[in-house]
Amino acid sequence: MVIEAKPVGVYIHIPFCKNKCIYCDFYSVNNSDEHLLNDYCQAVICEIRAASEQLHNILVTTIFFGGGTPSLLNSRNIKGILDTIKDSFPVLPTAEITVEANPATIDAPKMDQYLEAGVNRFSVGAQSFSDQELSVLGRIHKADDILRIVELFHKKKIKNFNLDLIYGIPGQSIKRWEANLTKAIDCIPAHISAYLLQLGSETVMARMAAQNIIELCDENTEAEMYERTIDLLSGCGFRHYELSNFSRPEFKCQHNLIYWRGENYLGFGAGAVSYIDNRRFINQPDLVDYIKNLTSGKKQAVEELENMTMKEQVSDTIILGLRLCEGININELNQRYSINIEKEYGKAIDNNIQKGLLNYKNGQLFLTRRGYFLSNEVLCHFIA
Amino acid sequence: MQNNIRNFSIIAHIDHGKSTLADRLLQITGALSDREMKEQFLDKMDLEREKGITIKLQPVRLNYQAKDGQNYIINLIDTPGHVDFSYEVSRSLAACEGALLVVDATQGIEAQTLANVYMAMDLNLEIIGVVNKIDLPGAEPDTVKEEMENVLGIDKNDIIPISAKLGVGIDQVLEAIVNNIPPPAGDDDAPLQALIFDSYFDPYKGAICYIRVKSGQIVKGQMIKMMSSGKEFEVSDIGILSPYMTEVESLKSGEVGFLAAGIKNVIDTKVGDTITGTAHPAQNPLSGYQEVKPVVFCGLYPLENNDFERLREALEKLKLNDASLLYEPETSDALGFGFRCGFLGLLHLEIIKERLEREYNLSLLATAPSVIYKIILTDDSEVLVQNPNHWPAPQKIDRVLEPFVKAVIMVPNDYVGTVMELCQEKRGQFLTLEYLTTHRVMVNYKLPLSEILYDFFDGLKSRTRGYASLDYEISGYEVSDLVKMDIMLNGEIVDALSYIVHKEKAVYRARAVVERLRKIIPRQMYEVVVQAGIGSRIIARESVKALRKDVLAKCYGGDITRKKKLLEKQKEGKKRMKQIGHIEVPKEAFMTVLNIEAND
Repeated sequence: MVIEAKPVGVYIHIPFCKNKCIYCDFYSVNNSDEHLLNDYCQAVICEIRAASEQLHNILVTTIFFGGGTPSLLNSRNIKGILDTIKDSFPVLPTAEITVEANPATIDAPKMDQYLEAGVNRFSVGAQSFSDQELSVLGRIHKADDILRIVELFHKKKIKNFNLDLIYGIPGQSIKRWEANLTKAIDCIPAHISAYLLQLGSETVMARMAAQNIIELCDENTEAEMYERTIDLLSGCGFRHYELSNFSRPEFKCQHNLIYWRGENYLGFGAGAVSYIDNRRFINQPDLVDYIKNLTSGKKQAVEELENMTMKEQVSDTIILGLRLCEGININELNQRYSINIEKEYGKAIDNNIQKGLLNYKNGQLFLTRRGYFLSNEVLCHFIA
Repeated sequence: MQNNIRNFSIIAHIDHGKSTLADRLLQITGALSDREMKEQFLDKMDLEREKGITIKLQPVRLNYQAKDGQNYIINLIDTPGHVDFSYEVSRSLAACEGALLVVDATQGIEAQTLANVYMAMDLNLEIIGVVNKIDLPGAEPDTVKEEMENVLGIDKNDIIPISAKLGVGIDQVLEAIVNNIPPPAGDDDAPLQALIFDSYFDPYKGAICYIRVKSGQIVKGQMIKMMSSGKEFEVSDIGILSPYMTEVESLKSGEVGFLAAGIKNVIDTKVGDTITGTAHPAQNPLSGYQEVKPVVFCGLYPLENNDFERLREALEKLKLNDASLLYEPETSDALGFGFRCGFLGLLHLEIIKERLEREYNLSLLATAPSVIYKIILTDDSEVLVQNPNHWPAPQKIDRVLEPFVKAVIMVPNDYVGTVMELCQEKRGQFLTLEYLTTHRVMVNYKLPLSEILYDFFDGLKSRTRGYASLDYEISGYEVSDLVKMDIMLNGEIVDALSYIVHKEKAVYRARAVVERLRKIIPRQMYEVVVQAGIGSRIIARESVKALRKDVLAKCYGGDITRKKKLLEKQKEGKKRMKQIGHIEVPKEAFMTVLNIEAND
């Protein structure tokens, strides 16, 4: 009997920062102590090994180091983790292996060693090309740091790198945002993620806004910025492929596509989330506990976030799939879940097509350009 | 035996401790074991227990051995403590020979209590004064006694100080009931006259009446007749409540109990009606019976259009238990199919709506409540209008009359000024002002019913820090300068938002309503223009700007669950919306129209 291997993406969470940004609500601690980082990576290695005992018939297609600030890790740690993954699971030879990098934490030798270890894609947290805006965001790097790291990429012929940008920064004008975009385009990246600044209620910045210490951009400005982003980037050869993501052809982020296509992924590290066999889990995000448990042969406590019924899986796939500009293929979904989407969600689909937020063409259901920035209005109708 | 029966009511303001005192009486007389005792035993509905307000306690029969060594049967027949149900108060009192007047030692007499005591006095009931909550730190039993003597003429030396909570003074209350309240008069051999003072629907036995036999007697199997309708029934069960239903063979003159007679509809057991026997019928019914008429009307619409039939069934079922509820189907261009419902007052409306939503799992939208207007047309004919959408064209109207009430407000004298201001704002006409004690005042005003329906009571409470109490009775119709205001969304009149308003207040109110709608209508795909107008004249305008952003910019593996929760919340929010054309309007909008001050 032949069992087809299940493709999975592997996510490694590195919850350390030199200085946590005031708009971020991901799990991370302000600590970059070498010993702590080493211990943590050892624990991650233990977790991967333990998982390989239980998971069979999988094929790793992408690996992504996210954070936090993964570029704080020295190359031995990156290599150690990558080697462990390769020892523990079959890994596709062409697998995309990404490391998120803060421009201020990486130099030429480190980059060489990362490449040596197998990293083939960098995602740079550039955020802005204005030092003033960077300081509003509480970033540790300056605009020059971005230019320096980009220069390194070009010198080393690394094409596959992404720049993360943020718009809607307090005080930012549409013009200044366009200037940032132009500078980003000049860097000739393969990929640009342009994110609207959206604050979790627990972030420092949200509290500052609530107390009127800073003033957030108004909705119209934000919407205008988004429109300009699409126009500018599309005009420069980038394809808009997800609500906030743009890439040159062939350079979509393979790892992130796994999320939006509702496919399986394994998360390792404190606070990492996994999605496998229709269930979502999260590792308890306590760093000290995590290191202690894993290095002493125990397991980290895991919380099940979701155990989805068929109906919820369908809803999940639609909600995530509609984030992609290509949308979802109705026939494919009908087959994958043996249902009739048009019957099940006919009213929601028709309503939103009428409102001009959705479109249906050649078997694909997708958001219209107008629908992108109003997508919650559409997506909430598909919640199970 | 008749000599050893005592029938009494408790008259008390909300929160003055009626239910607690009833609990204590049940406990001391041994009607309930401590094991059976739960707080506020006689509050029938969950809603009552939850809101901490007692609309009406169920009747109960207690056995009490008095200090004179004799055994007495004491029937407690309660009165509802809210103005909406004042007709029922009068009927409950009519079933008794005496009443306990319970006044909170920290609050003093309240307006409603006063009205009910006067009603009891008119019926020649023996009043026993009780000052409750003497255990509280702020209690001033002597001042309150003084007030009771001054205002009601009850000898302050006869007033019993108690703490129902701690069980202090309850024995004295029981002795006073036995000694001061006269036994019922009435001849067991005379033709039957039994007063219905309450009724409810039981799915197995049909309508159950709570009755007080005034004369004659009633036995199982007997044929009876309702004197208001002439309808005849055969008695299938009779019994007493002690406090559980206990069947007996007969109820004699002076006794209180329940009766079932295979009556299919609670409408045939009208509160205040007289039951007599078919064999030897009484010549005349007991005095004072009236039909109860709803005074407040509003539309109730299911949020989901296909819940219309379920709403009809639910109303039918509630009607079985509540003869005063009226409903008939109506259609609205904006809201689809629903029912126009009539209620005794706003509390009654709220209770019914809440029960429909809670017990029948319906999500309902209520339009702004309206009173009944009398419109004299130019051809001298008269029409009654309780739905703004039936308002005749202005050129056909000669004059409009609206119902007025006489309101009694009791308040500490520090607040008289602010209370009078409020009454003036509500188009009130000052009648009289009387001092009850040196620092408590009774103010009498004539006010339009429509003005006190919505936010008057809230306004009164907030302006007097909760110290004012209000009672009112409808005094009649008077001519008023009223107009119909239409509300338009993107140029289309939303019929369910129309309301009637006094001409002098029209502009102010229109602006407030439009502003409020601008605030509560969420931003939509397109700009929404909100306008208010009389006929074709627009007098207020606001707009809800188009929604530009509703997006989750980031959604990756780690936070899909969290992001979905946000969408779930949004979906829940949509459920509270009514789609009118392309516009989503929150269901509160409809009630809000006339509730401007309470909300802002």
